[in-house]
Amino acid sequence: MVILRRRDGAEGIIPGNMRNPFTGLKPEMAQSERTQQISETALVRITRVWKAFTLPGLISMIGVSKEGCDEVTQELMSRMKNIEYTAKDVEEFSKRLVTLQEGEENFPLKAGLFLSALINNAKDEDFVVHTAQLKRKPTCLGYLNTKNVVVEGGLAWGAAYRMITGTFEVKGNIGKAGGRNMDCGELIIRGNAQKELGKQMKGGKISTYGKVVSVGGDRKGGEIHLEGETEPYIEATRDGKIYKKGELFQDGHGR
Amino acid sequence: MCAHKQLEPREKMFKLLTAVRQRYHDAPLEDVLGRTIPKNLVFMALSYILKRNHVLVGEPGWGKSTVSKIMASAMSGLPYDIYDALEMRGHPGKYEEKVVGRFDYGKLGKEGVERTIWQGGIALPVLVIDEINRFSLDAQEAILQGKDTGRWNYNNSSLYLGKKPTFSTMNQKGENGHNGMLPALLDRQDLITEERYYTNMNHETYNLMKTAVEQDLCSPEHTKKVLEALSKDFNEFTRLISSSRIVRARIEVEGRYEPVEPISDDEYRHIITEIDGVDVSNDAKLFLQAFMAEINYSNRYGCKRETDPISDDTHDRNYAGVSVHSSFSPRSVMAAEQYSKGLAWFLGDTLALDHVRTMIPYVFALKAGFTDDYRNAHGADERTDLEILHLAKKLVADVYDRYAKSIQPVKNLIAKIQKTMAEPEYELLTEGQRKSRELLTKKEIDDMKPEDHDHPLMKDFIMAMKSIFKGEKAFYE
Repeated sequence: MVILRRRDGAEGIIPGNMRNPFTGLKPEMAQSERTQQISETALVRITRVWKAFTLPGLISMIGVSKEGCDEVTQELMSRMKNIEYTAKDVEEFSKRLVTLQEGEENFPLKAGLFLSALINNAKDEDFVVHTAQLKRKPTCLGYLNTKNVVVEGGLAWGAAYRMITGTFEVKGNIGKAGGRNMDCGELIIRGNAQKELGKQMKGGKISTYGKVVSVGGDRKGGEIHLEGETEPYIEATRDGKIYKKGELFQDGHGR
Repeated sequence: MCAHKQLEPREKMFKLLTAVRQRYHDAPLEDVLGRTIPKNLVFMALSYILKRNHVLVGEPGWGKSTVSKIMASAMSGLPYDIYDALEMRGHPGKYEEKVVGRFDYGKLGKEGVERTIWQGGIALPVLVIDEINRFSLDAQEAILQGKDTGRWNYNNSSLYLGKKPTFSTMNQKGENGHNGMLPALLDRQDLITEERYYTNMNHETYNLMKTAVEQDLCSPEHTKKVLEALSKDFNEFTRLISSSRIVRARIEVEGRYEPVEPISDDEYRHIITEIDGVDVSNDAKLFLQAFMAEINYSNRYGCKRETDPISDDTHDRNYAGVSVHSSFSPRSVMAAEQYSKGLAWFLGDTLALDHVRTMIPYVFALKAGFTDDYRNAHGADERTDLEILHLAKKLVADVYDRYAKSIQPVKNLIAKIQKTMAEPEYELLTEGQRKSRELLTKKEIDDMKPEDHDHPLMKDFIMAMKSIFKGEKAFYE
């Protein structure tokens, strides 16, 4: 038997094994039954991996090599492999990055490679990430991308670097070397692109709707569609096509 | 006496485990909630701190007994060779007399006095039991009470030595993994881990590790003294044991080996207080309750009983109870909660659902008694875990999926109950006012019926709510 005090001061008795199970719980807020409160834990775990991860000295000091990026990606994937998360968690994490950017010396590269690994490691196929709120935009976001990603905001250099497949749409502007070395898939840039767009690309398609400073050289394939009002400088190349507003403008060797 | 810097207890624990892994036992590093830790050693350390019964299973020769004694020695400071000499070794021909105590036959024959000579193994800070499943049922019965309560009985004598942690080993053979273990003893096993192959790359270090154990954790002279005392005077023996925290694990720091002190009594109390104080999220509590409800609820038989057949009721087939023969006892619930809190403490977290999800399989695997149907359903799974651990993890994942889908209505009910309980003027309000303030109305309470809801947890909460808000006597604080 458990004796409990009533609000009027009298003592009441409730049957022995029926201790009030609601007093030990923290306050709950009623929610729509479609909301899943428990996905919070995945976000907490992703944030924990972020906090525990530091870019290796070499990659952050002398810049980015594909070997360096591969090493970082593999390490991140192994740390994430046991976390079950959804595209929604990735979106929430990208919003949370605004609180994580202070004090991170190599924030742009860390954020870019981290989000890329997070997206590629997930089971879902379609993702939205938010970068508009970030002071320093992620670099190399979309590294080895295989999914369909929409970036709400801009990116620094190396967007969709070595992209493998899928679509990668950036609603804002991108820095230099967007789509560098990409294999396949489609990179869509709604804003402006800096120089060396599509440098060394091997295949796939890049569509731009804003201004482009220059189209990168040494391309081995792929198509670049310039849909905006722009006259970019075009670097020398071996192969690859450039279309201007739907019409073939250059096929193969550049000027 | 101690010239070393005083460490914070958790840091001490990290250091001790690092030392064990570095020098004495090459445990694999595993990912646990995003952190890479030697999981089996961490769980053993938690069993030591929480004074729980830990079972190590595995093939012969993979170091179950050795790591039990290494951990016991490093954590307690009592020499490894004392544990080695006094561990209880399971054998079908071994009876109570060789495990717990026996009559002093000389005294009995000469003076007719029934005096008990106790065995030394029961007085060690950690009970090390080798091949527990090979003991005769009589011997298991004798161990049962001592393990559970710290009180040892032999004939009319009774000796209280306090509750102690237990490291037991067993080879994983036979049906459902409990090779003839008494059901009551089985239910008292709190956690299971497996010692197994994980790499070929360290076979050359085995001898080095054995030497390191001999160098750092053994003290043959002292052990001899302690064993001599045991053969003469049990009280002197226990006094010596309690003052024998004399060995230190050693850890490599910048090329030098530094001793790591064992866990002192003060540190032990400090850790227990911290673990007790770990903040617990609602999801952690509710998931544990959901797991308990799913295993123990039966629409057909009222509750889960090992003696009942597996239910083929349509409702029951949707929940985890039909996958196992055993119930999930309150003892197991308490173990799961304590280990989850311990893990959260070790990782520096507050207790979330993930900690509970991580620990339940290790708590339940040995006792679950998986049905043949469930085993067959997962027979072709790729796995790295022991079969029962793999099945337990699958079972927890199944429960989690249903929890994720059905918890929100439960939480909404809790929110409403909490709001209603916090309303001081409730009795003065009309039903209409209650409804407009989103409080539970008397009609709602009456209309809500457990049988209208599917998830057993919801059924339990409705019954609890009805019991608390009973008619005019409702609303206790």
